[in-house]
Amino acid sequence: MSNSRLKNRYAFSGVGLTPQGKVPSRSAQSFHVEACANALRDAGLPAGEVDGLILYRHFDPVGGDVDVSAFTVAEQLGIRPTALSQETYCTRSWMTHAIGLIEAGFCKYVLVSYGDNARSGRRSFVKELRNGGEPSDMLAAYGDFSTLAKYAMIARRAMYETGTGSEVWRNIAVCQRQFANLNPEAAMHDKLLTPEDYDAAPYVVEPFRLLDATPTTDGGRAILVTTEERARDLAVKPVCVMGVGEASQPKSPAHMTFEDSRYAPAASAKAAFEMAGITIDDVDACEIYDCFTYTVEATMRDYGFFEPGESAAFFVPERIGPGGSLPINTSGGMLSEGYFMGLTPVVEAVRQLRGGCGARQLGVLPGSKTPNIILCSDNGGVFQSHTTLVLGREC
Amino acid sequence: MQQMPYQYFDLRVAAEGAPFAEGLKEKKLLLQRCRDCGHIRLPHAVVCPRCLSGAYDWVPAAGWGEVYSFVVFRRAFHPAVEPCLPYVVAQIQLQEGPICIANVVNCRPNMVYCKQKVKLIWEQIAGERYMPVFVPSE
Repeated sequence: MSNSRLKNRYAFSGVGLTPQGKVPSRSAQSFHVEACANALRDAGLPAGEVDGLILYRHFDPVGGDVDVSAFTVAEQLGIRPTALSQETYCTRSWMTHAIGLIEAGFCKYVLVSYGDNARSGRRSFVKELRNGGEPSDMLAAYGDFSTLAKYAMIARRAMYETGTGSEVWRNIAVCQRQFANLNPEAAMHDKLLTPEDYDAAPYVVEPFRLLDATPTTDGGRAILVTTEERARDLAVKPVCVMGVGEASQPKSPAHMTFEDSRYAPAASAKAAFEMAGITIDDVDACEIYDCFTYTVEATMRDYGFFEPGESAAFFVPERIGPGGSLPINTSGGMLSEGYFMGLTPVVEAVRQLRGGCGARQLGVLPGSKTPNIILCSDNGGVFQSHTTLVLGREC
Repeated sequence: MQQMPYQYFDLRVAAEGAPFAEGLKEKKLLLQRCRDCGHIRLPHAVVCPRCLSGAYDWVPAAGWGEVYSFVVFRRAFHPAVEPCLPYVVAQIQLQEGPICIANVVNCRPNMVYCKQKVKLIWEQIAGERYMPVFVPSE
């Protein structure tokens, strides 16, 4: 089913950032609140106009922090939205929900927010790692801990099926770091990463090395979704939603096949491209959800940019790096800029399409061109939930 | 003998898998087979994901399969499993069709590979508990 009637009907307006990287002595909710306030300031929208608030992903508080909820964030923003929600597990439905609320007439302006003090609070994403005690993980008897291991399992099968491996993932890690080196806001801005550094990083769960995984960050992100028509009256130039697609396949990682893992990205991209009426050849740059290096490879492959077996020829610096023909994760991505989940890629796409990204701005960066269309992905669970966005500079 | 996480932590199953847990005591790896369409399923569920029939039997797996995929833990995600490193967690595709998680033992981690033929053996753990594990069969 094509949603082409919705093409260019919605837009991203204000975006909100906060200090990021290591920012101690802050609660997670303070990052949500600051990011939301900054997004509204960016858009020039009075807070009272926000009638939808979606908190992206709830995590358990760390280090004695207060628990974040949509109530507490709305309270601190001084607003009374019509609709509040917060994802308590790893789906990626925020964009279809935001559009649905507006399209149906329940809301006019939906603010989407993420914040965490993961770095200072030393969030491990594996409870047992720090606390010991009786493991909560159903798979503890097998020693099968961590989301990282689940992605590594699929990546290993991809190695068997397609011949991929660390020589591909190394280029992804290194090229994204080169973008981060051009981005003064990135957590890894001052840290160079050579191929040798990547190879020297220890394995965590083979085949993944430490540098295949995104590090945790303190900070927050927020973004305002509204109609393109309303966005035109706000303070910043709207970035148009040309296409959006969402898909899920709920097989758990224990039982999932390589082919299962390919379903959601492929189906989601197909819907987004159909809605936008474009093909991959029309894409100028990509901002791809990169919880792990392999996630970038898998997403681009299943979006149809290359065939299984061709990843080594695809992920070369001349294509994906600074000055490349199809730059990927131009802020450094979650791997090297900051882990704001799906809001890392989409906020960077919006900023690139607006212009003003400094040294990394496409069109300013030597060898690059001003982007008209940027492709974004958001991936949840273990290849279980996926959203694709096609964003345009002009509506 | 190699130390493994199952020596420290009990195997846990959802309530609908209770007969599976009972089977472990008799060294049987029980699978749910739909009485209507014959589909053998994992994870344990009250209805068949192919035909939604609620009728099923518990049938023992023959104990043969192959490695679908695997990872090697080089870091302890729980302090108790530190002595187990490195250890292998694998997806095993059973002859009957379903893919399950299991440890591959009696094999150096760098000798495990996708499509490797494996067979089920039972490791006895303290207190008359048995853990299904897989070893190379060729």
